[in-house]
Amino acid sequence: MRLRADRNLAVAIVAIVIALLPFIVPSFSTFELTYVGAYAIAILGLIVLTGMNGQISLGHGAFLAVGGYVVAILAHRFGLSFWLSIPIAAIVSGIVGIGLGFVALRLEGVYLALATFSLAVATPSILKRFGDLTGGVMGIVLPPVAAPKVLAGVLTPVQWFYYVTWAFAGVLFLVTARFLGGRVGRSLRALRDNEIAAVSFGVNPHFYKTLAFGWSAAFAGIAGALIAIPTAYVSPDSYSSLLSITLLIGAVLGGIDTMWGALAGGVMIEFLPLWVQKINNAAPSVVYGVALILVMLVMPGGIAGTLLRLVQRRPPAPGDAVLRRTEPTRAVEQ
Amino acid sequence: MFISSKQLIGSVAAAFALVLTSGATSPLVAQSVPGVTATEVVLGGLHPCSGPASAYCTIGKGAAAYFAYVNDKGGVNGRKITYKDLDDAYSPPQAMQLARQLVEQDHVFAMFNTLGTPSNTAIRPYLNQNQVPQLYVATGATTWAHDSSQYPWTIGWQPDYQSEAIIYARNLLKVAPNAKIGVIYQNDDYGKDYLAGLHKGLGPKSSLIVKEVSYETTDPDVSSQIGQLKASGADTFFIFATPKFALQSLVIAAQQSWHPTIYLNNVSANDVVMKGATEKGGATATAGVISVGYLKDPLDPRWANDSGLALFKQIMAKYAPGVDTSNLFYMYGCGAAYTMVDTLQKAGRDLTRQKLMDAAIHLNEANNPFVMPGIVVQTTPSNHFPITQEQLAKYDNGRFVPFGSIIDARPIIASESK
Amino acid sequence: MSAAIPLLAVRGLTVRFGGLTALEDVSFEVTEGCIVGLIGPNGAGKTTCFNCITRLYEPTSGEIVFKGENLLRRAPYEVARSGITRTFQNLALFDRMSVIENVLVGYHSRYASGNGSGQAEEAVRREALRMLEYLGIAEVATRPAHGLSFGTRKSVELARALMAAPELLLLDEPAGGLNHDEVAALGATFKRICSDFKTTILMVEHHMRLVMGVSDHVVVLDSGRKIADGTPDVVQRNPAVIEAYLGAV
Repeated sequence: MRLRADRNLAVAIVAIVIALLPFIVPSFSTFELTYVGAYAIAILGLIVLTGMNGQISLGHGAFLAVGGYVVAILAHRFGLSFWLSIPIAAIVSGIVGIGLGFVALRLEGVYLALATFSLAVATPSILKRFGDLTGGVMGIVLPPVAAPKVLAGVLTPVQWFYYVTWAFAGVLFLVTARFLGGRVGRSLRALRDNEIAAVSFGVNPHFYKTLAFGWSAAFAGIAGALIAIPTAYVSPDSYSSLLSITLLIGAVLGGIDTMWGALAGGVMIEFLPLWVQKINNAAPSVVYGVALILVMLVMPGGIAGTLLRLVQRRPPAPGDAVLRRTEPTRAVEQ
Repeated sequence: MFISSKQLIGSVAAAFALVLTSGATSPLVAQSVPGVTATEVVLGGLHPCSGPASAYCTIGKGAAAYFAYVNDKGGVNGRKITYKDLDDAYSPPQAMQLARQLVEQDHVFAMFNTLGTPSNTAIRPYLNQNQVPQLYVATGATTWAHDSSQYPWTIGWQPDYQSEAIIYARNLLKVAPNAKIGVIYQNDDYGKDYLAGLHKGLGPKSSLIVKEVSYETTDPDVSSQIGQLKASGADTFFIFATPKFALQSLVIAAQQSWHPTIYLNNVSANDVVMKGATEKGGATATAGVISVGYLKDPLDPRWANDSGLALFKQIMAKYAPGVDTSNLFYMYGCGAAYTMVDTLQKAGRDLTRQKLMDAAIHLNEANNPFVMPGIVVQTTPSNHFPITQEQLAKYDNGRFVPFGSIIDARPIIASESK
Repeated sequence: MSAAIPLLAVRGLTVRFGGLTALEDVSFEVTEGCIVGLIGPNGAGKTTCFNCITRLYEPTSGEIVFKGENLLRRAPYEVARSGITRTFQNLALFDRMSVIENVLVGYHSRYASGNGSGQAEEAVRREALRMLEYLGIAEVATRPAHGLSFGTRKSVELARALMAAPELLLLDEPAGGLNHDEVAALGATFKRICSDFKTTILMVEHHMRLVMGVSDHVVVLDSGRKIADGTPDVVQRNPAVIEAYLGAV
């Protein structure tokens, strides 16, 4: 119970910090932190799919593209407000994800990774191919974000969209926590650990694996929309295969076994390239690679996983001793 | 298995402290003109140094080397240039964030030579809204000039794709007025820009085009397209493609024993494509291929005793030691940086962003030591295409040999402006 | 209500993998409320039979009827909801999940629909904890399953299977890997489970003394065929059984 109380406290602190940040940091940092929120949502989806359900996706950039383009096309062609277009982006992306989930049912491990990666590689070409709809290589320019009239004097457009993004993130985190903590989360993880055993206890593998893909894709679609809107531009080059790899790196780096990993991962993929450039502007990708390897070596559970392990360190000997004593008894019981 | 609240709060706080310090600003004294002090002017730029387009990273390095050279000679109007060139990995969202960082945190005076159509398209509305000059962008799209009324703070530098195609058309009309033209182009805005330029250049003689075929970047190869062109009876072949498909086009034409006069767009007329095509398709695949240039190619023996090339080599040796100076991208960086310095000079001692933009649309630079002699970097309020002149070159024995005089696309392209 | 309608009826079950026949025309019944032993030398087809009942294998022919319903029409994941769960010969725990979560997955087939609301979830957790207490492993509830000793892991499997409140519990070599004393205690545990949970047990086991001591009924397989079927006393005197086991020894 204390564990839960502490977790609630931590959530409350993080929420307060997020709420106050725009009034503390300069405008461009608020802008960057908006992207952190969007990336965190995308990574949260990957944590559900890869961390909880064990299905590797190296193609999540494609779902970000779906989300980004849905919002861009709806805004460009129909002048639709993003309040409407973001849910539509989530639905369209989720449906595409469920479709891919059906394909994924027949693939495992490295084959699934390859199949999803080929999707990531094909995404820019596909976007260019349907140029009439997507604007081709030139992409689509979106209208700038404006705060609603009531808040116009209170919040800058950057601050306004920061709160929009983090409000989405907050709701999606809570919903995810709710589902992962219960039967759905257990079923996903059971399938990951031992599919045959899970099936033997009534877990429908087709349903849950497809659900995980759709869920994850819908989140990526929302993230794609929340990135496209402040960038105010989508183009095929926004969704190179590198993006998909970066997202998975963010998930692993942040900690793929815990929802906190999404937050840490979002911070990392937003700021690590910037830090790396400050360290060495000559060969940023080399420094980036070395930094990644170092973090993985020092923190195998990812940043959030390692932090959690530190704060949750079990009281050592007594519990273990009790355990050793009880084991023979248990055998008799059986 | 119990979390200590203190530990948890501590770690959360630490994580956010990290975020905060990353964005910590150096408190800048409020100033009337951002990025300008009595002794310094700060420019920002974005070039991809990681990701798929990282080959272009060298352009930024070339520009930085030239600025360092100028600084050592006393700077511009007494001000040293600080060039903050960042890596956007050719990703528009990253370009958008870095542009904001450069404008809002680093308080750059202007953006200079950001690379790539996608990145520049992404940041153009933001920079224009904030009236930050977006100068001499490194892309050949025509939009930088054509949409200058909507985005007056943005301007390109290099010849645009349409101008290049116009130059080919003018040459062709002169040497072979009855040619039968076949065209292959990439089916997107890039390829279509070239195609539109060819039509403009040919004008009423567009009927010389007997066949136009396109390819998608997803196509495995262009064999069927080349077959159609050959079957059309064309004797002149225009290739408006990216390097991979240009190489294929050259090789497949040779393999199908089709030997027309070939015009190859500048983007693909590089060593990798030409050597690769010669290797796979034989010498006949590439012999006599025509393209254009506007920079002094460091490998061209014409410039062996040229003072501009000597200056280039001297600058690179001192400010970017150890790099391969035969890479034309360094020359490009120096050339664009020269125009930037020229513009700062003309904007005067009492520097403002508006004055910089005024100078940028009143260029008349006949002495840029890094572009070919005879080419004038020139703009007017109604013409925002700085370079529209190029010289044709023919591929002969392993390199492009320039021929003929400098050709100007300006009369046609400028009439399109506005 | 003795043997009016059998809880489980296996009829003419045949399984071939390519050219290999694993089961040939096997029929037997399991009556409600008793412990049935399924024995035979190695390779007799016992686990294959289990895998058919839980729908992991598709039989070549034959039928499996559970509570009057043809089980072969069910998808593998529907078997648990019908009332059958199992343990595995080579443990199949969810290694990266905690012990209590492993047991909670056992409850999966009992959720009516939806994601059981907060209160229900709490009640389910309490039931899972009681189950761990019943089997004497409550201390390890929050430990990850992978770090535990072999015996404890077997108990977790049993707890998970019982958590589904099965009408038929399939135990695949429950004594495997346990020492003499532990095996001796198993018989009593099974009888207790039978009455406490009102469940019927079908058990594959090599340990003859355990099987003969605890079973009400024994089915003997050899090389994929059923060679005997009856009470332990009858089966033990069956010449074919003696032959099969002597031949195997």
